[in-house]
Amino acid sequence: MAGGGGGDQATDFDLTALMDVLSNIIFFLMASFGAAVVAVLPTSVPTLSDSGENDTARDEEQVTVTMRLFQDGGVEISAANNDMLPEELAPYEKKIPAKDGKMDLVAVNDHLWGIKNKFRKSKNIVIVPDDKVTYELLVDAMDVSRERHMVADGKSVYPQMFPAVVVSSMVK
Amino acid sequence: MSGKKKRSPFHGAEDDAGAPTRINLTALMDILSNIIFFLMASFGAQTLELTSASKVQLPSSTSELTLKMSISVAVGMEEMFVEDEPVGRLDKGALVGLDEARFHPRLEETLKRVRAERLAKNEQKKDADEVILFIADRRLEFNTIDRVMKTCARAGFTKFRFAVSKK
Repeated sequence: MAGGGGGDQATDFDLTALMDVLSNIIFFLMASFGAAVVAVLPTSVPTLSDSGENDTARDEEQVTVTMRLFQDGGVEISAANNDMLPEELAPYEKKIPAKDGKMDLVAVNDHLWGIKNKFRKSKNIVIVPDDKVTYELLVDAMDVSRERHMVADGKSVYPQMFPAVVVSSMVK
Repeated sequence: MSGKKKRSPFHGAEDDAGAPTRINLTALMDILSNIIFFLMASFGAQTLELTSASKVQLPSSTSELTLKMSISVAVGMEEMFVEDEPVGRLDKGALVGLDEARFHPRLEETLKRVRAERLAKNEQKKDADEVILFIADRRLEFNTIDRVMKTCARAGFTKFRFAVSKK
């Protein structure tokens, strides 16, 4: 490595000043590194299809989940599949009211996990917030639908649920 | 206190016989250099210029997806930017300057221009030129977010990466 002396004799270079400089650089970089805590959430908006087809699931092992978000934190969840009857999908519809003025994250996550377990190939969720819903609540909804926290063999695991998010608005 | 001369742990002190103490710092230098290279590499990958959005309070998220550079659209409570260029104003979080169809013409024009400039520079299309890095204030209401996203979509950008702060 750099600066290594040869043989049994120590090199006579005075490295103290260089050590000081390197230490300062390390402290600066560590401070900056700690501040870089930005992550991203991928999403998309709906687009018109040239073929007139829609993206609703067809495979019987998957559904497209729709989550309506209300200003007060209430949530309405439903599942859709072009090849399934509405009666078959009715059990997966649920209204989850807000809890203590916030979205009931546990109840929403539990219900979505139930859908994911039934339709294992499902990945898509359409989130439809009301106009007055805050961006923060939208991000919370994306978080709660993306993955589930579980403990397996004493370790935390995060199986994915619905990572493909489309953000849409109500047709007016 | 003893009457002995104070001994520094580093180079330059003298031992009892008066000869200078020699501490070989080479190994420590190697460790420090490695740490610096690691930190610089991580720093380079994570740095994001959020200067335009300095007033933006990002929402927090459990997402662990790392930041990738792409065309940025920053929406604060008072101003909106594309790549640090101011493109519109907001009145208490509500977009000002929407057209009859409720799109934002200046945002659309700017995005189209930025995209054309980027494509002119690159020989091949890059993913970064197709995705918007969306930096928005957590207090904004969805009707504002929706108008910005739909204007982006009309300019040809249908994919987004929401910038969030890690929980």
